[in-house]
Amino acid sequence: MVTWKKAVKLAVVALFTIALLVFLQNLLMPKYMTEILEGALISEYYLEEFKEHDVIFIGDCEVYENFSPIVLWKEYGITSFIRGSAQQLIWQSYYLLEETLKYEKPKVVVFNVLSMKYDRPQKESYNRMALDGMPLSVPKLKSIKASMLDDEKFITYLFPILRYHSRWSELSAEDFKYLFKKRKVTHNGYLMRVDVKPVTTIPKEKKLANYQFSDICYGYLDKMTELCKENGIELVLIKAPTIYPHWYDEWDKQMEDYARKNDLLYINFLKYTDEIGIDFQTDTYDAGLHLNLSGAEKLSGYFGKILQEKFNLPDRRNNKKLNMIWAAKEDLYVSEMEKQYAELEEFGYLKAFNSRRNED
Amino acid sequence: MKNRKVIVIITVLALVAVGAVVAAFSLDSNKGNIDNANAGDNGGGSKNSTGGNRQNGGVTQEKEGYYFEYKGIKIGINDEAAPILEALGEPMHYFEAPSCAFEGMDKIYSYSGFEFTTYTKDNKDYISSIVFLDDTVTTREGITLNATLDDIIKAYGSEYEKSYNQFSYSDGNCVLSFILENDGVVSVEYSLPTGNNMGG
Repeated sequence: MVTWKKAVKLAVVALFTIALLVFLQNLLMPKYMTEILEGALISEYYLEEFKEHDVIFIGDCEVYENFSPIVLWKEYGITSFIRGSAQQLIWQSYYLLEETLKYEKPKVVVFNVLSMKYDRPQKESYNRMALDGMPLSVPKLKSIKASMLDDEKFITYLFPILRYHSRWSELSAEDFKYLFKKRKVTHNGYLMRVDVKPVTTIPKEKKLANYQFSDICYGYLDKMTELCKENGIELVLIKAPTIYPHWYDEWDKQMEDYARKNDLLYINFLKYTDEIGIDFQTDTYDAGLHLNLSGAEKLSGYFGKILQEKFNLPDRRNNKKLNMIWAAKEDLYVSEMEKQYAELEEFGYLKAFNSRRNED
Repeated sequence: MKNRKVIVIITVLALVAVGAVVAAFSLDSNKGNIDNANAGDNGGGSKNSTGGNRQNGGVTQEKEGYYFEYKGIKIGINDEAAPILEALGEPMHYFEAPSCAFEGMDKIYSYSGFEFTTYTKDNKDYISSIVFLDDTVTTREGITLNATLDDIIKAYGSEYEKSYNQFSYSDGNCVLSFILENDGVVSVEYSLPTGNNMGG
């Protein structure tokens, strides 16, 4: 009897210890709610109640800054979600896609090909933004393994408290406010910015010793192509219309050849900026690296037509349930837009995107 | 009474265990917080220590290793940018390229014949690369765009590293690279030792 009681007490203490560690981990992990919002993107997908999207975007900032799912819905009745993260590497995109397919089977997957230029992990902070937001799964474990830099430890991705323990001295109000529940910072993965910084100059492109994309990147692109074919999904390769970093003709040709060989659609939107109506004096917030809301809406309107015509995506606007869901999303979108314009009017800049800059 | 003692002992042990975990990893102070771990390190900027001419204030003082000289102004990798910019005057063009999620900021200053890029560390900008734009500028050893491999070897010797059509010389602090096409130099670049050869 006494032994049984001891066991219960031990179990209670063990549970208490685990709960304490989980609490500390949640407290210490960055929340990405008021600055560096890009860190919050990946986890937002899991909050979606309705995970039946016609189109899933995967890739780096060139997807989450340049395409608006709200416009795709409003203009074409296409449901979509962007699974993007800052400098998402191609193996991270692949494993994210593999994981996404456990939740849903979209008709089209859109992959931005800029990451073909990176054949090795770049920075831990980008790895964290791509990986920490994923729940534990086999694709996540594979992605961690493929992404780690030499001085990173696998266990710190499984137990992030081992990485973030030293944040205790920098905890802010944000860490307590969003300890148990975070707010959404994107609109189906689209990170909105309404500010404008026109293009005034474009740096001359550097010559490269080697323009050939690496075997590693082609390997993951092959896996992505295969995965989509196995699941009856149309894979579309795109290059977003941003003018820096430079997209070389040699790279473009490789993607054209790959698409032709694998019977895929590849669109380099840089070739269609006039047709899309992008004006780099008004449609970018950082002098050509990314589009702002105005540019993203133009690009989405243009791309939506291609998606609908090429892949016969149905117009779902007559679906009552979807209409309700997307009406709520539209409200949030408009409210965010108005908030940003008001902030711009009051401060001359957007606080969430400039606080970090001012420190440096 | 005995049970209470057991509970107290177990609770103390649990708290010690939690404390030990936190303390053990607190000792690993080499890694900062994720937000700060890479700030300003946009291209390996903090990975410098071997250069004898690093971050000096005088732009005309004697230097060692590979560096570029323009109108008597010495510009080296990892040198602080402010005094160089002051000596050079207003650039013809200036371009800011913040990294995604603001993990650093490249600043590109273009002058007649060359441009250089800076990275930021501890609120100061340092030179991360210098690139020739035309053949009006030369390296201190006399190599300019359109030079040949023979010219390069005469100037720098045959102790180069070859990667595709790129020939590189390193002094530990700086890598001086020449890219050749059709037997002529099409690119001259001074850069940090850990540059990304895919560019962009």
